[in-house]
Amino acid sequence: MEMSSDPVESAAKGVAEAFLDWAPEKIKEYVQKFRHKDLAFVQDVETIEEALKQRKTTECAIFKQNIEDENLRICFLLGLTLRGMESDKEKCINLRNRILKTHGAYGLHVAQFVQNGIFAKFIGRYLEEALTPNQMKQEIENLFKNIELTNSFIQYVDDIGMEANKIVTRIQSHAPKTYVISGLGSVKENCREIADEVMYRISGYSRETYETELKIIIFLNRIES
Amino acid sequence: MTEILSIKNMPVSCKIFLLQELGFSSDGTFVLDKKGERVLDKYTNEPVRLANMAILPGSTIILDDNPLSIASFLEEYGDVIRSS
Repeated sequence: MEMSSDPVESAAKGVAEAFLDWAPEKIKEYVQKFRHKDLAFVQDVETIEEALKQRKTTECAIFKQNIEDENLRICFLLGLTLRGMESDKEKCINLRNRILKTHGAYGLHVAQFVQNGIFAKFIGRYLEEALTPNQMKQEIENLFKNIELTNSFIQYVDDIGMEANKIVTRIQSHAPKTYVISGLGSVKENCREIADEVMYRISGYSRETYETELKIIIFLNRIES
Repeated sequence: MTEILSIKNMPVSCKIFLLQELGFSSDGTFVLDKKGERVLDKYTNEPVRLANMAILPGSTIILDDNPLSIASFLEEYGDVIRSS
């Protein structure tokens, strides 16, 4: 916008130009563009741009190559969204509540699994193990099928002893190849304590920990004989 | 490429005019369909508010502008938004 030396005149011109953007003729022009699929109307451009960006990541491409279920794909994408907004606690809580309401506890766990970077870690492992594409598809399908039996997303309110008991029972009943304990922020220490307790009570598993300032992921890996 | 236009600062009267041009209307708070009933967000099943609506191309889908609805829309109609 061209600036006038008179601040009042300049401000008035700015207001007039802003209104010009929403003049009836202009809105009719927008509608024409919209009908040709050349325009979309949103509140926050950032929300849709972020979603479009996530759809182009390699992590997303690998997931989509292996999982066809539409709901699972949406929960996966929302997990990436949660990861992208981790610095904004309120936005994160709002989205988690929406996921829970719309996709249930399983959907939220899938999203948290992705948010915490656990899926990405598994992909790294599969690549190291030099799996064939078919084997990898099978592993990924099983990973999401068994997410409730092989993962614990520790929350601040969780009791350390009770969580450890639950994990020990699951491991002793199903002997999973890998059991994952993860948590964000202030629960990192709780995750460590739970893993200590579990490792003390089970045998045949080794422990592998990934930690950043924001989160912790502890893999309990079955030792193959 | 589909242009993404923010209507966050669009005056309410202009938002209503835009909706009317597209065959919808508003009671000043919610978006209404041709029958005068509240439009529900397809993915959250909640009424769409004028203050937080997103209008997406294809079959003129009006949603609440939140990450869950937007991600769900893109998963269902991804090719409608042509991104760079």
